[in-house]
Amino acid sequence: MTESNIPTPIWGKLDETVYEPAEDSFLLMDAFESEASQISRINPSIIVEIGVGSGVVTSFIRSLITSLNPSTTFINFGTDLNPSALAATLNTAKLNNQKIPELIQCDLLSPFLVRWKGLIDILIFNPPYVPTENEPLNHLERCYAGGPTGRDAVDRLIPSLSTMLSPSGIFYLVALKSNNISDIFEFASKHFLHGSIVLERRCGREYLYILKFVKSK
Amino acid sequence: MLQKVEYPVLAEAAKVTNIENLEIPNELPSDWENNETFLNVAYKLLNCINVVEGELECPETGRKFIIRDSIPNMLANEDEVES
Repeated sequence: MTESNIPTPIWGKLDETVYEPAEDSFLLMDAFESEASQISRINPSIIVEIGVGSGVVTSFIRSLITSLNPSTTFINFGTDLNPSALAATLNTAKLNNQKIPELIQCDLLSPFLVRWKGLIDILIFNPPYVPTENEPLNHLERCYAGGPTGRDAVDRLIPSLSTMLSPSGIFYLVALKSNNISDIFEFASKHFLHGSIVLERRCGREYLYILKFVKSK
Repeated sequence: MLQKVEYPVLAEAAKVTNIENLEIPNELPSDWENNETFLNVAYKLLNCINVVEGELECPETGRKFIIRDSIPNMLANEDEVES
């Protein structure tokens, strides 16, 4: 593992329904660092995270982009279904002395499917990826429950994405081996997105991937 | 950043919030890239002002979305979602 140039953000006490930063969160941050030159090159101004949880990933990407492109103004947007997660994200920004992100309580990108067409430079999603028999019934379950394939949320999101991303936009996604990476890539390519693996790692019982998608040529 | 903003909507929203001492043009001035006065206003609107409590209103349907603690709730109600 390479030395991190950006410190891991600090976060406060979290409500039990908010996802506590874990290996997948840190793997995502490592992936961003390994993608630093790509991210810098696209000079992003609109960054969106779906499912902000504790807010650490949004905080981290903000710090990274600020250090890479110090003279660029950019906005971090974040969405989440859980109001406790949104509140936690505001708090995380304050604890790390950052400008607060623009947060909206909603499902995926639903309210923005028209307005944000072609505008998103970086999209980030650490979804509920655990394969579960049933749909989630509450905020706690929504942190991890992804339905039988673990891909309920991802499969709902992917079809609209190629129109949402800016021409050089990048979508970063966390996935489990059991989500079936090649299936995800195939599904994405049907929706005009080209996927690749940025980083992968065994974390305890799980084998995790950080995937990236760009618009197909 | 200004190129990604629908300026007339921003101006209208800003006017509704009644910020004192801020001259907000209705339209993006044609010389906006070099207009220091305008750029200062735009900077304030984009970075310094935040609606903490209020509502967003859809201009087409009139549907209101409540903003609490800076966060709008844009979840669809059950009757608004196609089954």
